[in-house]
Order: sequence, then structure tokens, then C-alpha cells
Amino acid sequence: MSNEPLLDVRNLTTVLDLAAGTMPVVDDVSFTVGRGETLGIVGESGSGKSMTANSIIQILPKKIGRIAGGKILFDGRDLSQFSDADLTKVRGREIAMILQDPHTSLNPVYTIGNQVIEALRLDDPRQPKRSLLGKAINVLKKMNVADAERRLHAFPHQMSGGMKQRVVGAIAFSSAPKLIIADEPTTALDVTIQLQYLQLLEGIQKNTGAAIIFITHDLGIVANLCHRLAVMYGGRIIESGTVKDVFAAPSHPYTQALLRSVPSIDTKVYRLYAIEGQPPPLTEEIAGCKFASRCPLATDVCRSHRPDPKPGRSGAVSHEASCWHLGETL
Amino acid sequence: MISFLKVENLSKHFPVRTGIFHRKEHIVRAVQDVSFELEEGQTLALVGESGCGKTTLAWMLLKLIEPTSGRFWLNGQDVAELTGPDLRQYRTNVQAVFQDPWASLSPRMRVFDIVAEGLRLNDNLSDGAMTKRVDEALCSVGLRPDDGHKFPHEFSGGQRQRIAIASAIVQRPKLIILDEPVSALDVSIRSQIMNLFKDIQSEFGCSYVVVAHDLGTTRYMADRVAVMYLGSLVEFGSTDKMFDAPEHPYTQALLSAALPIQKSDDKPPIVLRGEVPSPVNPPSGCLFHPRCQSFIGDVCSSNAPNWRKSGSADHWVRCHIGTEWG
Repeated sequence: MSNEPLLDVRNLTTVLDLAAGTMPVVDDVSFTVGRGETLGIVGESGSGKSMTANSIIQILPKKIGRIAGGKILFDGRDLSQFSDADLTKVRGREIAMILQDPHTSLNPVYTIGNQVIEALRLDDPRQPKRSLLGKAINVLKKMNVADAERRLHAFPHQMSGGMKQRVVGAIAFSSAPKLIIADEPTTALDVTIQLQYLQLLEGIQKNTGAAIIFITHDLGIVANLCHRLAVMYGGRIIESGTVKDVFAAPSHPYTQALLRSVPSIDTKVYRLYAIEGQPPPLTEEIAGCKFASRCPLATDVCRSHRPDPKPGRSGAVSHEASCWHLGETL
Repeated sequence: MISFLKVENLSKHFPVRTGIFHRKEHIVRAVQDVSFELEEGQTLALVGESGCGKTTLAWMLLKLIEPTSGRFWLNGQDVAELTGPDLRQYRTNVQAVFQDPWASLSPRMRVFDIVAEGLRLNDNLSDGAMTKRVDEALCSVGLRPDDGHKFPHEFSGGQRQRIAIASAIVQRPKLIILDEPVSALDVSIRSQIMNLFKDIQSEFGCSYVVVAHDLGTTRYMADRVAVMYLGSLVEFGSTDKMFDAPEHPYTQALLSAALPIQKSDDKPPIVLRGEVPSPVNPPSGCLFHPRCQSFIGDVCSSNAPNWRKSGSADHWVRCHIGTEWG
């Protein structure tokens, strides 16, 4: 196995062509994902985290979404240059996806068995369904779907949310993908079910060696599941590094504020830190740092010049943050 | 002393029909024998997973649905017996803020009218006095009086929730029911709104019953916590005690499933078996026994546990562990 990362995204820019103008939803974003590694992408709604992930396999809004620049090197090939036909061979096979809402990602009129087998037949559509039954039961069992034989004949509405999300996971892992993109996979689940699911993902990842991009707004999940993380704000990655480094020495004021604004369950807090204001609309063109309008440390240079990534406070090589005031604490 | 809010054996059962011709009738025990008390100016959190009955309980307190059995009192008044003007007064005194500010605000009404609607219905105010009240409410939630001329779609999620809060506090309620008030908001906005709730409480002295599934929110907002599982309370007590030394195995699992930002490697999380059973056909004995990590034997599956007082003054647990059985 080579040392180069499985996925190497360089200067990716994705735009939406709207009537109001061209809107960069992913703005010059670079990151890597190593083999078997879990990268957490954290951000608020509209920060571009889902668009970044969707750009990798190019499932962008039809006609209006396009990749305007950059490279997506996956296993040595540049996916941004792929034709749609070539991408079809990658989607669902080498790169699989788990979406947020299991109620909408499964088809309500087909049985679970049908949908698992459909995924298994991607490689050879002429294989008879019957021959794949055993394999289907196996992939469901790997995701701890209780009573897998019987579940094959069940429809999605007959299952709980947690069970459905396991089926979605089983479909994703059925083709032995090299990379799984999990877009808020546990947001629709209850906390005790979420914990079951995350442990399951971790276990399967260890067994299969698949890499995971985990998109979430929940910093707790990132702290417990991911190896590295990238924090996004306004379509840009503003800080990235190993989970340990970033949580121990958050360097960008936004990351610092975010970590301080989440109430802890272990200690009593009398006043939470609150970030004033709200994220700027994506349609607004901002020359400088996108967080400047909400940042207590902002000065003129922040509003006029875009900061480049610089070494973060932990001093670790992989830890970077884009801020003009890295030396100052919020 | 009369307690501010007293709830006694409150239950809500919903009939559901199943079978081909919908002939078979089952009963969903959405809320079963819930009792608690709340002091004025305090915050009670109802915590549990989806389907545990916390929202049904909140709706009964709002008198949006009638309880099947049981009663509750606000300031010593039996709410079930209220009629006419007294009932109107109750609806003024008890307000609500819901989860989704995209759904809870009428898109066709201007912010001023949304906030003023309750005043128009219940108070006989002159136009000038009404404008003053609305402007005050908008200022209290951090909006400007000018914002009253706008429509909800002109605001972001956090600001919409501020409008919803303004329309609740404008009537100067004694109790506000908050049903997942920050769940639909972005992380950086949540702390703004939670702080706002605290400011309003210290300004107006109102009480909150907050329905939440996020335990960090609960710890920050609540003075007391009621943990619900499958329609019943399983543990009740002060927030600090509940979070520092939870006694019911379900509370322990719930706390352990909340993934903290500061990862502590010394305690592995408690992963529960299986899923929440159907409330149509609840388990025998202790409702939690099929998933319980501390299951101690037949007593759990055959006998429903009674409330027992835990060491500290006002902390109650419904579990066989710690009794003569355990």
C-alpha cells in the first residue's frame, strides 16, 4: 500500500449558478483522508460541509451546481475530470454514502431484501436475486440487524429509525467501499441508539479498513469517533488537525467559541459563551475572513484580506488554522 | 404551602385501531401515572428519548389535550375545573415556545401581529398600550421595535425563535412550556437562545417546563430533572444530583450516551441492548428491564418498582436496586 492518502482534495471550489449570481458554496477547500481514517467535517448549516462531500462524487444540484476549480484525487485518479458514466462506477461501489434521514433514503415500496440485493447486483446486474439472498443476510447481520432472514421481507415502514439506518449502513458497506461519506447519519436517531450505531460503524471500519468522512454539527461525536477534523465556516475550512490537537489547542476564534458555547453535562456552567450574530449569507461577497463580522478579535486586516492557513497553536505539523490573530485568545 | 405547579398521577392513553378492518383496539399508554411538583421561578426538564411521552405531558399542561386520568394544579387551582374566564386566564398564564420556528410562526402575519395576537384576544388594551407591550417584548428578546413591520421569512432561525419567545412573554405568563426550544437551531445560535431564556427568567420570574433530549441543554437550563421512559417517570430530582450521581440504570445509560467533548477514557460508555419497546405492548414489571444493564433477576421482570427516596433530600428513583429486593 502506498503512503499517499486515499483522498486528496486540492483547492476545491464548487459554485451554484443562481439567478442572483454565482455563489461559491465550497471556497478553495483542501483536505486529505488517509486509508482507514475517519475525518470529521464540522460546521453549521450553510457552512458548505455537505456540499464539500457531495462534490467528491459530484451529486450536485442539477444544472446549477458545478465544480469550478480544484482537484479531487481519489486513489490517484482525479474525480473532477471523470465523465458521468465513469463516476457511476465509483458511486456506491468505491465511495458509498449514508445520509441523515433513513426514512427518506430507503424506498418505501420495496422490501429491505430487494434494496440490499439491488446494491449487491451493482457489479453484475444479471446475477439472479436468489443467489444473492445469503449474501444479503450476511451484510445485514454485519450491521447487527436482528432477525435478518425475516427482515428481508419487511418494508421500511415496519422498522424503527435505528434499524432502518442499519439497513442503509449495510447497503453502503455491501460493496466493500474504500470510502464512506456519512452525512449526519445519527442526527435523526435517539441518543442511546446513536451510540449503538456509532460503535457499529467503528467496528465495521476496523474490520474493512474503509475510510470515513463524517459530516456532523455535533462536536461530541467528533471527539469520540474521528481521528482528524476540519472545521468549516462560510464555505471554507478555517481550522484542521488531529482531534486531539484541535480540541486541546483550538486556534481559530470560531473553533474556540464553538467549543465554549456547548453546555457540558459534567460541570455546572452559570453562563454559556455565546457567539453573537449569525453566519453571513453565502450570497454576500466577503474579501476578508468570513468570521470577521462576528469575531471579537477582528481588525481591519480581517475584513480586507483573506487569511491563509498557518500552523495552529498545538505546534503539531498537521494542525492549521486560517486567522490573522492566531496568537490571541478569545 | 401550596406548590406552584403540582401534577398528580397524570395519565394519557390513546386508543389505536389495528387489524384489517381496524376492529382490534389497543391502548397506547403515552403517559402513565406521572406526578411531580415545581416551585415558582424554577425550571423543570423532561428528559427522555422519542416516544417516551414528554411532549404528550407538555401538551396536557398546555391543555391542548385532556388527560385520561389524574389532575394538576397551578397555584393551587385545579386546572381541570377551570371554565370560562378562568380558563382564558390559565391560557394566558401558561405559554409555549415550540421547536421549529419555521412552522410555529404564521408566514402571512407581520411580526407585530404575531406577538400582539394573544394580547388582542385576552386583554382589553388601547392601541398605544398594546404597541408599548409588543415593543417591550421585542426589546426583551433582543429585537428592535422596527422589526415588528417585517414578516417571519425575513429573519434567520435564531431570530425567528426570538419572535416566538416574544409572543410568549408579551402576555406575562407564569409558566412557559419549552418544547425542544433549541433543537432546530445551529450550534452557535443555541447558546444565544439558552442565555436569553435565562435572562427572561431572571427578569420576569417565570417558571419553565422544558422538554429536551439534549442533556447538555438540560444541565444548563434546569433546576430539576424528570427522566421519562416509555410514558413513566423513572427518576426525579435536582439537576446537579442527577448528573453527578444518577441512580436509575436508564439515567446512567442516557448520560453515558451523551458524547462529551472532553473524552474521558476511564469510563467506557454504557451501550444499551435493543430498542425502546412499543408502548402498545409494554414489558412486564419494570418497563426498562429488557434493556437494563444492571438487571438483577426475576424481581425486575415481574414487579413494577415503587418510588424510593434516594439519600439526598429530594431525589426519587424507581428501581429495585437499593431496596430490600436488590
